[in-house]
Amino acid sequence: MAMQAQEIEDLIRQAFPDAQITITDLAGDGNHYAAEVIDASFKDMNRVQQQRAVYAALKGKMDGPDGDLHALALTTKAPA
Amino acid sequence: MAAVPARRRLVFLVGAHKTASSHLQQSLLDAAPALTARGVAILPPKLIRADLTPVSALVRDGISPEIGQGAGAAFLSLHGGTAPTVVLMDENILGSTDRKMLMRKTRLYPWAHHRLGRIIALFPGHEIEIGLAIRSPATFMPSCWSESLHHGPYEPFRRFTKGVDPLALRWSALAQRLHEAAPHARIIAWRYEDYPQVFPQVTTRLLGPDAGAQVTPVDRIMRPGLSAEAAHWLGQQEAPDKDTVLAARKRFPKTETTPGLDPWTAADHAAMAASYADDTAALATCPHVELVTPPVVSDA
Repeated sequence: MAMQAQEIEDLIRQAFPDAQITITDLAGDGNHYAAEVIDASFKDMNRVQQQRAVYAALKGKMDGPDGDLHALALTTKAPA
Repeated sequence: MAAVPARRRLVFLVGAHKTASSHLQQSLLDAAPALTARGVAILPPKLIRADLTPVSALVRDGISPEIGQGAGAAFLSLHGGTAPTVVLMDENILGSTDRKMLMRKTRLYPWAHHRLGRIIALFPGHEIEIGLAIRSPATFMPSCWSESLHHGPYEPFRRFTKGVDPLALRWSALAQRLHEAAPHARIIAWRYEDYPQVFPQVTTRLLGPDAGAQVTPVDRIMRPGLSAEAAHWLGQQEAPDKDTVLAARKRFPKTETTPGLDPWTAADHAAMAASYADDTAALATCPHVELVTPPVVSDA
């Protein structure tokens, strides 16, 4: 079942309540999204750690062929 | 509105470092609007390193390949639009100018095959080509050394190259390892030494004739290495750091009359020239490699 952009944002928001989160639907199919997550907690993390933390927030929604979210382009950064 | 192609041609422009890769990248970026109009998207290293390389590392570390492939598909949709050809430019796919990532004993870029394989695994079902410029170790090693000083602690050239046999470094062996990591990919190679002459052929081969004709070489050297004078001066400083390197570069710029560091003897040069010629010939015979060479000028 496809996910809505708001569902993705809500899941990320649970882990990063103060983050600036932008979700873009890339194909209009509920399966291809881009997410930009800007959060102060990323300041002391490298990019791999930042992305790992966001994927963890999605709580398995992307795992396996039956995952709800098939394609997510992720951009993470600390606030400038 | 054009549909997102299910199968694209992905060209990974992987350098190598210090082979005018920044010059080629900037030339392509300058032409990006004209290339986009012709179905070619140009993606800069910054984008690959920020958004794509971390995903490949996460797949290595255990997140599911499906997540990685999903990230690859979305990355292409986001940054490649509907372009049938996407050029992904990043020398760090091979490694870096950190000496452990650059060369080890007889190997150039000892981990390059793993790194390339992980990135390409994010894009199943697409046609893959790899653009790779090679350079004689006689100038490649000093140039990478000078670049490394901008990214890490100072170490003399002799320490940087300790344990490495320049006569045994083989681009053809690297190409073979890349082929094993990406067996369906074609490798388009050219010599740095031929770069000015083969520039139009390289862009045509990488992008196609129509798009390739839109690219003109930028009129500047992008990342000049250290001059011999700068290297000598640096060696005399106590505990030089990155600022010292910048000061050396500014004080003793590399020009036509003040060339780069040459740490080799005449005999070294002769041996390395022969070795590089053998290596280039071996590369040209690899069935998965196309070596772009300068046009033959006829006397007729």
